[in-house]
Amino acid sequence: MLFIVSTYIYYRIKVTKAETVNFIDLLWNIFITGLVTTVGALVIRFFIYAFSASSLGQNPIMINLLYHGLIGLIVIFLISSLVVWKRLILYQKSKNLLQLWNFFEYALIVALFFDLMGHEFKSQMYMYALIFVTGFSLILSLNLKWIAYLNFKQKLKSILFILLSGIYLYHFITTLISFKETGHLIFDLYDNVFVIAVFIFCFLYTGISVLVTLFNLPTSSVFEQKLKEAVDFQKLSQAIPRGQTEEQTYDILLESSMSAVFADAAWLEIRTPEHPDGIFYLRDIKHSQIAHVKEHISAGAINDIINFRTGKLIPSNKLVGQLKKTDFKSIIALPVMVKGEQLGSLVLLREMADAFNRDLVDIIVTFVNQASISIENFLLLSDALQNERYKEQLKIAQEVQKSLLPESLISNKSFDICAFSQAAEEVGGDYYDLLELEPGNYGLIIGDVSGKGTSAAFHMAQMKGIFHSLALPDVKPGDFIKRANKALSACLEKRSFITASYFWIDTNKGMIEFCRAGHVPALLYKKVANNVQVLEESGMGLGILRNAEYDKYVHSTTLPYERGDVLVLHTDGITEAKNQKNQQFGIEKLLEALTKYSDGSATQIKSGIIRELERFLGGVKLDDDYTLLIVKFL
Amino acid sequence: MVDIKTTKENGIFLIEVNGEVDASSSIQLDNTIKSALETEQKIMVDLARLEYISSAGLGVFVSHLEEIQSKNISLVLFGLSEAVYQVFNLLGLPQLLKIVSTKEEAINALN
Amino acid sequence: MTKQCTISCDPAVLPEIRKFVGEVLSSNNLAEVESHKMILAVDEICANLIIHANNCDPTHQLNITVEVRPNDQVIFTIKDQGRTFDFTNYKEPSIEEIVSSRRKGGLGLMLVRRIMDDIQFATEKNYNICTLIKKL
Repeated sequence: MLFIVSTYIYYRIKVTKAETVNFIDLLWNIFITGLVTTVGALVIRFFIYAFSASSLGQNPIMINLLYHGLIGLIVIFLISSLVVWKRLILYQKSKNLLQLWNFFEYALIVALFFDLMGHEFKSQMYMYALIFVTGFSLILSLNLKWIAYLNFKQKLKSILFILLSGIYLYHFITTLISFKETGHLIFDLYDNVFVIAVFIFCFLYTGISVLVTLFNLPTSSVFEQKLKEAVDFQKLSQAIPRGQTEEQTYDILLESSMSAVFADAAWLEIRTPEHPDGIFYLRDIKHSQIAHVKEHISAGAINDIINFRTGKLIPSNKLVGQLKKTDFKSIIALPVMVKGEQLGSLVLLREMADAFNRDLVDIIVTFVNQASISIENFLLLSDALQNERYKEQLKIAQEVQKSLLPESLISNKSFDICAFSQAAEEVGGDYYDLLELEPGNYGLIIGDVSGKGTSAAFHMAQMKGIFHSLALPDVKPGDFIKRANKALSACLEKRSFITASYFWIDTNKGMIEFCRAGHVPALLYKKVANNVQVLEESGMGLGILRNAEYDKYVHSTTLPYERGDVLVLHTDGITEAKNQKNQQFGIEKLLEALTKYSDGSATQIKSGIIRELERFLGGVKLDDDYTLLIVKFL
Repeated sequence: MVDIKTTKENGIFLIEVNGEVDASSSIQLDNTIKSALETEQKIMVDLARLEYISSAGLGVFVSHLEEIQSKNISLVLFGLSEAVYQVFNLLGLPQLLKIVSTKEEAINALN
Repeated sequence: MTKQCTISCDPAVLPEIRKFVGEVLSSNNLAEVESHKMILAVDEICANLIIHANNCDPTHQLNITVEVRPNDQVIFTIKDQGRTFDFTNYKEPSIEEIVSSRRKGGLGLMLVRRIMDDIQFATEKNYNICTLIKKL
């Protein structure tokens, strides 16, 4: 008895220690144990046979000794099998199942003690006990979920091992019987409920599992397919978060779809603004075949999908079609939609006709949806990143610009000067500056350096450099503009240009000389006449003509100014500002405002004009750059 | 620049337009057509030596279409080069004006 | 290849513009009939600008740039500082309308639209910029 218990405990520990629930390994375990024990049994048998004739062979003690040896081996085998079966049954644990099994074990232990009471084989109690245990074994034997997790090959191996175990069992039984026939047994194993019970259990379980595994062989391929689909789906949804690119997602989509529907060939066409003619991902198909298929597809949903005309949601039955006169007879087509637009079309083909069923289509729809989600997330992410980068660039450009404009314009005893500059949301583009070239002689510049994004900041830096280096007392406005054009022609981008006006203010002589390079004409309010002159000298923007021809179009004008006159420089943001009714502020209103406020200081004039502008706009946000430069002559 | 000659042959008024008809020279064509419409019933326009015509020139023909129809005047253009014909075609004018290839066809069409 | 020319706003210079554009296009080996149409489109725009936007004022200039990208496209850029043309409010009249109104004008833009692949009107820094693109 002790022997049995100790063996049991031993095996229990051994098997629980091996945490890996590798079914094949467990079955292999049984196989090996069975082999060993059977070999032992065979040895014993051989022994018996060899000595059957001799007196040693007839010795009851010898026989019993060998018998007990046999029992030992059988017990080892049975216990190990028991433990392994336990492992397998409890693979998918549920509370009830666990309870059931524990009950079974207790029953076995009870049987163990029961045997101590020494009941005979075939006595009533014995039979009851046996039936009870048999019934239990049957119930437990129906827990075969582990079989479903085996693939085809593993199932075959299991059948083999289990059959072999069955053979061992059978062998043991026959050996036992042969021993019994000798009639010398002191202790008959048959009387032992415990052992018999376990025998029966193992037998039942072996038999049932073999049958079930056998019958599951044909359907195992479908199960494996389903498993693969689930894995592929997971791959798709993990693709982008794991840092794969769009292209890799497309590859995964194509591969998974092909294997899910057993397609012979497939292609995925992606059309983006950068590649309007489509990028193709191909599997087992040539471009000429694709063109062939496209030609032969009849009108309908599939035709629309292939030609990127997908509109509303398409029901799955319309996604499958048949083809004639092409290598491929069955076709599935699906649009890949991202952000509501068709980004791509996925086409799966088989040479056989009518090869695709509804279930396959539904699976592909799931795949494509998942791929679309992944790509959308990817695009959202990269958009957000780009936005961040762009905002950063703008911020830097804005700061550069602020630092390029003069902090303050110094008024002097000859004139009062004040500037107002406001940039639209994006980078602003107006540049102005004042330099005293020599005592009493000033150079004044205003320019529109606007451009897309951050280029305005660069242009402004260029203009500032040019102004500070070329604005010299012996470089007249006309020459300044000519040289500025030369300098800029070399470094401005291809289609960019800059408008500017450059003024010489000679306070000793009371004269203004200026040259207008395409810029909005300046205004000169004459106090005595109480009207405004528009300084409309003709001239071409800097960078429009980038050779010596430009100089032909440079003209400068000289005119006197008096006390109380006001020179106003502005950029077209002011005159083109539109209110809600889409009317422009216009030059007339600017002239009006200038005349109205002309008596005040430069600052007052500036504020007055801005007030008029804001009143006109009535709260409409400015979408351009405003610059206003007021010079009031004292 | 454009050089326009007019003659009358066998009851048909022939206008020969040579050179280029653009925004600055279209006025000449306009004057010629206008005066022809006042007196003639059968007019053919030889455009064989017309090298260029812009919308101003086309507009001259188009602007007089109603008058031509109401007075039942027959107007045929011929001798257009490939390039000039394509320009007429851009506005669908061959549907509104009679255009043929040769002078003979024009004469036949008018008789 | 990019070539530029500047002319003053006088209708009499239209042949010069045509000659300039023609030379640039033929030196790039472009087909005659296609070039003819492109020259026509530029002529139309320039005529409109000279006559309507700049009132034939010879002190105003038109700046014309021709950029040829071989086997790709040709880009014409015409800059001036005259009155701005409001393209957004332009609705193309039909031929019937033009015939019935006995107008001489209105056909220019129709031609340009049928010849060019893309037309853009923009204002920048006090200049009006018209961009015409023809894909080759």
